[in-house]
Amino acid sequence: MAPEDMLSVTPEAMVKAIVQRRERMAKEIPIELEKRREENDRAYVLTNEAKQRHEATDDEPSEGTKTGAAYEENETFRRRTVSRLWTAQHAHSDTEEALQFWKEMAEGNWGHLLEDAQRVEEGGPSSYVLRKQQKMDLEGSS
Amino acid sequence: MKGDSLFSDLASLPVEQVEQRYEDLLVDVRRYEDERKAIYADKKARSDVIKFAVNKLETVPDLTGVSDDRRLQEALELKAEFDRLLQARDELVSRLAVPRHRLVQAMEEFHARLTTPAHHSESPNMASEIEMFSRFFEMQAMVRQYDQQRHLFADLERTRSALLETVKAINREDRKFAQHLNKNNETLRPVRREAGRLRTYLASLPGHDPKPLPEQIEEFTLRLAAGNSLSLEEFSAMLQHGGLAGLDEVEVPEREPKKRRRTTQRRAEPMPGRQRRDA
Repeated sequence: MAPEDMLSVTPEAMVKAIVQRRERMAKEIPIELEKRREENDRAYVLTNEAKQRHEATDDEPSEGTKTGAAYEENETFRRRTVSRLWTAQHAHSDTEEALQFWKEMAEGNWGHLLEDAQRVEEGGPSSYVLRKQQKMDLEGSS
Repeated sequence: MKGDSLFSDLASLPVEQVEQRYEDLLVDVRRYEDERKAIYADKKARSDVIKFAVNKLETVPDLTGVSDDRRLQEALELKAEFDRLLQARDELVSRLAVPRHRLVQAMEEFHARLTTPAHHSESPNMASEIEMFSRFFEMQAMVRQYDQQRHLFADLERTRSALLETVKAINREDRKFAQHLNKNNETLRPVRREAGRLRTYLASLPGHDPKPLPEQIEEFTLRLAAGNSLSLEEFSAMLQHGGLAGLDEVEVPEREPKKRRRTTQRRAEPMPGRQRRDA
């Protein structure tokens, strides 16, 4: 999109584009979520096995070092898969919430989101100026 | 005698005729003095207008009594227009704070993030989406404001150039006035000299008390009034004599040649076969 085309973008078109993007994500995320669950389950099993092997070699120091390293490695992998799973779960819930929100907006309820734009159109200061002013006031009062 | 030779041409003329010539010369002297005053007033007005145009003078110069003030009036009108446009531009910029090109850049970025499909790990969350949506349309309103005021920037630039050109033209005129002033001085000097000679002659005649010559407008008074500066010698002469009359007589004390200070630092002994320089 050319820079000057940005001026012709309407709130309706923007909301529609956001909803489309979110719907696409809503289709992709469950697949991703399933993959992450499987990955996490596999990691959990591997870590558990490594842990048991390591515990079994408590009396053999040389062997214990090897099983200990394997256990550490599997545990790190498991933690990483948990993090990935949480991210996917969060994205999933965020997408569901966002879809609901933007679908409401698509019905023309975006007025409160355009308050800053309206103030500028009416000749008021931009929010950048207001933030700057706020910052200066805070610095002045402290 | 020297005095006889100075007035020899007048002695043979009837006194009435000399008096008439003196009167005519007085009229000429007054005319040239008035002309000189007018030139200085014009020069000062031009100087003030230039200073006002470049913000070195806060008050609007008074142009009453200035001959041919069209260009000066034009400069004052352009300055007023320039100040008005500058204030409007400053108000706009301080109200929006972000330059137009930066706004367009940010809008492109926000639009791409909000509408382009991406992996969920690179996608903005809902809170960011709401913030970007709101900012996008605020920036759109800001760019529209810039575009509505586009003529303001063009007008400001055009007025600035026009004011600059007018100031240059006034400056050129100012040089012309300096030439007029020199010419006036050159013309006035022999007229004054002749009038002074006639007055001295008439005053020497018994029972005659000729009118005094019009006071010469002091050069420095006019120069100061025109906003010019005086040199240190002129200023010193003014303080000593109440004017510049004795400027040529002011003695500039001769400076004694600087004595070379001898160093207190010990120097190395000269090389064998050489002499110490300051010995």
